[in-house]
Amino acid sequence: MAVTFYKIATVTVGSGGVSTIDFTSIPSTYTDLKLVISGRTTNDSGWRDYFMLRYNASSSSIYSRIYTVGYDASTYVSGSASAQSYHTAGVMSANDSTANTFGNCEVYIANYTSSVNKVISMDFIAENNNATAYMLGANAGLWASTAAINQITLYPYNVTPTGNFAQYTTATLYGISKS
Amino acid sequence: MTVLSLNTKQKYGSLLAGNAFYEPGDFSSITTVTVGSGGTSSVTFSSIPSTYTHLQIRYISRGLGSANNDTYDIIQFTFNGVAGTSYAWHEMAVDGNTSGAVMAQSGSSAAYVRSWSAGNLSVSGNYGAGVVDILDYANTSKNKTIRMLSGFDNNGNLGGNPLKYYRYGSASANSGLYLSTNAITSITINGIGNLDQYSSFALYGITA
Repeated sequence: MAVTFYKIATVTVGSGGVSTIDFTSIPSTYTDLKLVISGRTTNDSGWRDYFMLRYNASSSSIYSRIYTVGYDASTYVSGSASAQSYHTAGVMSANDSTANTFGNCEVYIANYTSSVNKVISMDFIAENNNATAYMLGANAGLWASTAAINQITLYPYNVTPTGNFAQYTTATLYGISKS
Repeated sequence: MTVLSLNTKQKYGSLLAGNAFYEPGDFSSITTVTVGSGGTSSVTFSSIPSTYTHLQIRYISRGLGSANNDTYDIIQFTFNGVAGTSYAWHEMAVDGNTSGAVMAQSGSSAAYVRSWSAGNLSVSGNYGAGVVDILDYANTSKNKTIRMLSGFDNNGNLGGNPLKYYRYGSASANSGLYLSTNAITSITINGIGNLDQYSSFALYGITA
């Protein structure tokens, strides 16, 4: 049976944290990309923090998404955002989350080298040892570019960025090949 | 360099000595359990090696519960044989009948983390399915968080009198927290009642 699932690169954040996580020179030899993040930020953000994505370092307003999210005291929302300069990819744990607890997030980019616009699915959780402090949800994202993706950059909270990814945060990029 | 095969005594110009190139990849099957005739009360993955970075469970399942809620089943995960109050979970589910989502959550001291599958009164022969991701399961600096997507479908309205819970089926996103920095070495899976025959749980290891 053909092997179709490969690790491309892993980033493990060391002491002091980092302001961005960058995967560069992504080879074009796979079919899809899968990014798995066990993450936490240094911001005090109400038991969770957002994280953002950019592709190929592009800040053009060509990012859009549809989202569905559940959070806190059984609140459920859905909606959309368009013409943004980044993807709000999801949430992870924050500095004021339950200690030693990290968000659990996945980003899947299908046909990342194709000559059509790129579609991205994102699902994420930020858990706490608390009945009413959490967030989980999913996004369907569009990056309206026909360029092959060769770089993915992660930012905590916003693309300024604000704060750091905390120590022990891990992000692994996988390449998935069709057989 | 010439390589001599110990089996055939044939000489090769490569260390592969006539064997196909092997590349293991980074996604590996650890083990799979398929429930046999009569069902079972639980499925346990034990002695999970610490050599991977992440774990993933993929399952199909159907419950044999006989309570009022037997049109669905709750799949309950516990780790390292720890019962009691070391868990928290939250849930966003749709039931195919109402718009929006049904939110649910544990208290802060739950006995398990959970996802969904079909129940004893679901359409005959139908099973629920789920994917469960446990990141950094052997990292002793982290509590363990679990991300789950699961659901089942009843091929339309199951009806019933009174109307059955989740009679259309359900799709659910769940989050879970196991409040321990210990490496996960075993996973136990229960339903509300027994798990039906042909329910199948596959454990994968993912390398980073």
